Amino acid sequence: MRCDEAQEWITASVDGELSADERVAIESHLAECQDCRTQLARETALKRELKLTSATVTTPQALRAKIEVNELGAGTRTSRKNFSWAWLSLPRLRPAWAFAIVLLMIAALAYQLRPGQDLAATAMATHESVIKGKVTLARVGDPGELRKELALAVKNRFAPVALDLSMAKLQPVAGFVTKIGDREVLVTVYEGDGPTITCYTFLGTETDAPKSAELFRDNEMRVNFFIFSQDNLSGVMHQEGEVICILIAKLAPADILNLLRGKTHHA
Amino acid sequence: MHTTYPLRYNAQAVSGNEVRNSERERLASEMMVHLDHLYRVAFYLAKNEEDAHDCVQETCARALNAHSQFTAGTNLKAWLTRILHNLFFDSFARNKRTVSADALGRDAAQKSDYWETLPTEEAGPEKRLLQQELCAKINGALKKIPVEFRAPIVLVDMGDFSYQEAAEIIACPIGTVRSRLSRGRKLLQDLIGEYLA
Repeated sequence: MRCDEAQEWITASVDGELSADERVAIESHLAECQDCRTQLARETALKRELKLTSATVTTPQALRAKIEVNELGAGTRTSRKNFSWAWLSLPRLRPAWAFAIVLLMIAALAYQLRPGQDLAATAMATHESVIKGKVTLARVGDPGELRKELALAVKNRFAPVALDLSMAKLQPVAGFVTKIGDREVLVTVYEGDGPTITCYTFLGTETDAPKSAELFRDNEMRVNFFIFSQDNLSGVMHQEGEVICILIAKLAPADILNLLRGKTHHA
Repeated sequence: MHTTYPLRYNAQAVSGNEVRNSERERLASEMMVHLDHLYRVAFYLAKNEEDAHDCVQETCARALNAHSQFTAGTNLKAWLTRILHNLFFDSFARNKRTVSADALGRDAAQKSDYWETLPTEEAGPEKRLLQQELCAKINGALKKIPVEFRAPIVLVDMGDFSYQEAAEIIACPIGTVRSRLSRGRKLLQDLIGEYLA
């Protein structure tokens, strides 16, 4: 056997893919050839390093979350069944797609650059204002009435997320509408025995989460919770249908998360 | 005279749709076990992370939409990888720049020695640092070799597939896997051989 003929056999030997006859033949050649023995050692080392290197590559958390939401969460939906996206790749649609993508990029840039887009930070600042009494609260005794009034304030386009925090001895006592950027935000103030909690509801998506937020996926509820903190305040954001709900309080993030996971319900 | 009996409602019975949804959910759950593997394959096949993201996401969507084509008890990892591989070559590799293996060999020969590129004051760097450097070099070198040689390396060396499984994923004879693997490793050695123990 010549050395150039032995190369593929060396490769297969490293991978344990040789037949018994082939193994005998290559071992016989290796016994006589120092260069091929070196090549076998180098290829074995390369295979080991390739394996070690590949182990450092793992699925980014954002991609994993996206797949969990889009694909695993889609299991009970029927609208996707038998739906084909093939028409989207039709060549005649490509110019339209290119135009749409450019438009989307411009819109995304404009969205990023618009003033006051940092909803979470503004929500935290609003919370501080509420706590320090800088915001005059019109208190409403009936939580149902409060919710109705807040929804009316945004022409019933959406309503504040209804949270039952009675187990934490907290009740919705007041609310108001504010604007963060160009978005209307409904603020509900919960007071009681524990620290005051403010709840912010607005039309949005999960992309409104702060970039620094930590993602917690509740597989049972099939909800993504985005947790963030600043100074001594914590916030937890999640999406319910078309609305985003942010809860801010002077509590540990885990405590707010537990309140949401245990007490959130659709009214 | 006919006797009629009221149809009994069987609470245990499930509709065809429910069965399909349940199979889909089971497949989705098992698919997540192989997500890192799929991402790894996409990461090394694609030229950039964005393509790898899109490729993995689309693979998952296609796999779940075609869940009825998967035979329970067979190799799910290989089935998913075949979908990803086909998707990559159909959609993501069309505009790839073709680099000849010979040109690569020349590039590698012209490269300066790795140890010469290290700062002299780091004559004794720690093993972990060296390992990180080596990982970066391997990742860089893998991106430089043509995808037809890279694919078998990604499948066999990184994905732990046998030659038979890799041949089925790539849709080529086993002998082609072996020869491309041998050639691919030779190209890698030309590029990073100095760093290997």
